[in-house]
Amino acid sequence: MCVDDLDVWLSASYPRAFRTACLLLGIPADAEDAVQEAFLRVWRFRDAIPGGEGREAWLYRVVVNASLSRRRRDRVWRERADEQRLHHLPAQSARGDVDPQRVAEEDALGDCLLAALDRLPEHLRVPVVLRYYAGLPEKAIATAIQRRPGTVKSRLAEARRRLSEDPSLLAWVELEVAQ
Amino acid sequence: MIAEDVLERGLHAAAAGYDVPEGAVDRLREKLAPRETSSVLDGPRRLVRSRRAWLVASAAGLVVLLVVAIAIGGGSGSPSSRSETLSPASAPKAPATSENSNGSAAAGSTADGAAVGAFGPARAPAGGGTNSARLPAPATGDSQAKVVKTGEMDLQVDKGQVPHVLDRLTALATLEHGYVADSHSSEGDDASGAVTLRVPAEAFEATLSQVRGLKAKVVSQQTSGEDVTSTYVDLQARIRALSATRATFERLLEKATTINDILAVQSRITDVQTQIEQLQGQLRVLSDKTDYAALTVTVDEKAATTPVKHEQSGLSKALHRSVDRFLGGIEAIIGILGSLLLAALLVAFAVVVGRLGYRRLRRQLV
Repeated sequence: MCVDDLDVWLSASYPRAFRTACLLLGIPADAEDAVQEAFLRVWRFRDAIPGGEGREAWLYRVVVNASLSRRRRDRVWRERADEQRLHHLPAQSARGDVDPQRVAEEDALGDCLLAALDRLPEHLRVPVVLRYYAGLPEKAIATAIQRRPGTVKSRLAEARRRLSEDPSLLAWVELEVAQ
Repeated sequence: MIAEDVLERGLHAAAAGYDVPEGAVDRLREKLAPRETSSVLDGPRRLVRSRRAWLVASAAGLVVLLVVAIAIGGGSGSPSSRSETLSPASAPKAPATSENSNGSAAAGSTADGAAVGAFGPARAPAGGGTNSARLPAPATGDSQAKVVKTGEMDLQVDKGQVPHVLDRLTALATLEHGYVADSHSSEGDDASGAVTLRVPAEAFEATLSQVRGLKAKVVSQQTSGEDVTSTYVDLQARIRALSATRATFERLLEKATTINDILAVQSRITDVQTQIEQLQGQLRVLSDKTDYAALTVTVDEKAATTPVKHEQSGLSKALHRSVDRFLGGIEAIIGILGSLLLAALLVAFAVVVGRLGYRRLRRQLV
C-alpha cells in the first residue's frame, strides 16, 4: 500500500477507531492516545498490512491491543476512569437528528448501554463493541482478538445474555414498554 | 435476550456522544510525517529484522547443539563395538590379538613348539630348498613386515569321531600346501587328540575357516600375530656386519707371513664364521615361523557334562531369558536417559526463547 492510500485509509478510519477505543476505555483522552499509538504502529509496519477484507480486522486488532495494553499498563486507570466518567457527559446535542423524542430515546439507550457495558468483563466487552459498533463480522473479530470464530460467537451470546440481565438496561426496557 | 438491533442502536448512540477531537488526525499526521523522512523509522524495522535474525540464529544453534548431542550420545558405544568386531584377518597386524580370551598365555608356547617341530623330520615336505633360497635375499625381508601367526582351537566331536577329525585336519594341511608339525592322540573311553598344522601364512585364515567348517563344535579359538620385523632386520644387519669382518680377516690372512699370524687370523675367521652361521640359523628359524603359521587343534569327545545342560527346563530357560531381556531393557533405558534429558532441556529452552521472542515480535508488530 502506498503512503497516500494509507493516509486516506487511516483518516477515513480514524473516527470509528477513536469511538471504538472510547467505548472500550470510557475516557476520550485515553482513547485518543491509544488510537494514536495504534496508528503509529500501523504506519510503522505498513508493509505488513494485509490486503482486502483482512485489512479492517488487522486495524482493529491493533486498536484493541493498544487500548487494552494502555489500560493494563495504567494501574490507576480504574480510579481515574471512575473520576472522569462522573464529569464526562456525551455531547448529545451534536447530532442533527430531526425527531427530538427519538433523540432522547436513543440517548437514554446509549447511556444505559454504556453503564451496562462498563460492567461487562473485558473479554466480552471487546467483541460486543467490535460487532455492534465497529460492524465487524465474526470472522474479522476472531482475527482482531486472536480467537477462534466459535469463541467469538459464544462470547457474543454470553455478552447479550448478561446485558439482558443488566439492571440499567432492564430499566430502559421497562421505560420503553411503559411508553 | 437483548435484540441485536437494539444493541447496535444503543452503541451507536453512545459512541456518537464521543466527539472526535478537533485536529486529532492532523496531529497524527504530524507525528507520522517526521518518521517517514527520518532514519528513526528504520530503527524498529532493523530491530525487528535483527530480532528475527537472532531468533533464526538461536534456533539454528539449538538444532546444531541437538545434532552434536545426539551424535555424541549415539557414538559413545561404537569404539568398543568396533574392537569387538575385529576380524581374524586383521589379527596378524597387531603384536598379539586374541579372539577368545581363554588360554591366551599359551600363544608363545605354541609358537615355540611349532618352531621346535620345524626342525623335526616333518620339515622335509615344506621344501628346505625354498627356505634357504629366501634367506640371502635381504631386499625382500626389508620391504615387508614379518609376522609370526599362531592359533589354537579346541574342538569337540561326537563319540568315536576323534580319529576321523584328526585325519581331516592332516588332509587339510596337505591341501593348503602345509604339513603336520606335531600330532598325538589317545584312544579309549575318553579319546582325544592334538595336531599342530603348519600352513603358509597367507593360507592361515582359509585354514581356520575350513577347520570351523568341520563337523565339530568349536569350544574355543584363539589367534595371535607377533611382529618380528625388527628382530629379522637386526639379524640381517648383524650377519652383514660379520661378513664384512670376515672379509677383512680374509684379506689380512692373505697378507700374513708368519705361522703365528696365520693361525691367529684363522682362529678369528673361524669365530666369526661360527657367529655368522648361528645368526643365519636364527634367521632361518624366524623366516620359517613367519612363512608358515602354526595352528594347534585339540580334539576332544563331547564330555558327559553335556546332558547336564539339558536338565534346565524350557520354563527355566525362558525365565532366564526374560530376566536377561528385562535387565537389558533397563540398561538400554538408562543408557538413553542422558541424551533424552539433554534433548528435552534444549527443546524446553528453545520453546521458552521462541515464546519470548514471538511475544516481543508480536508486541512490536501490533
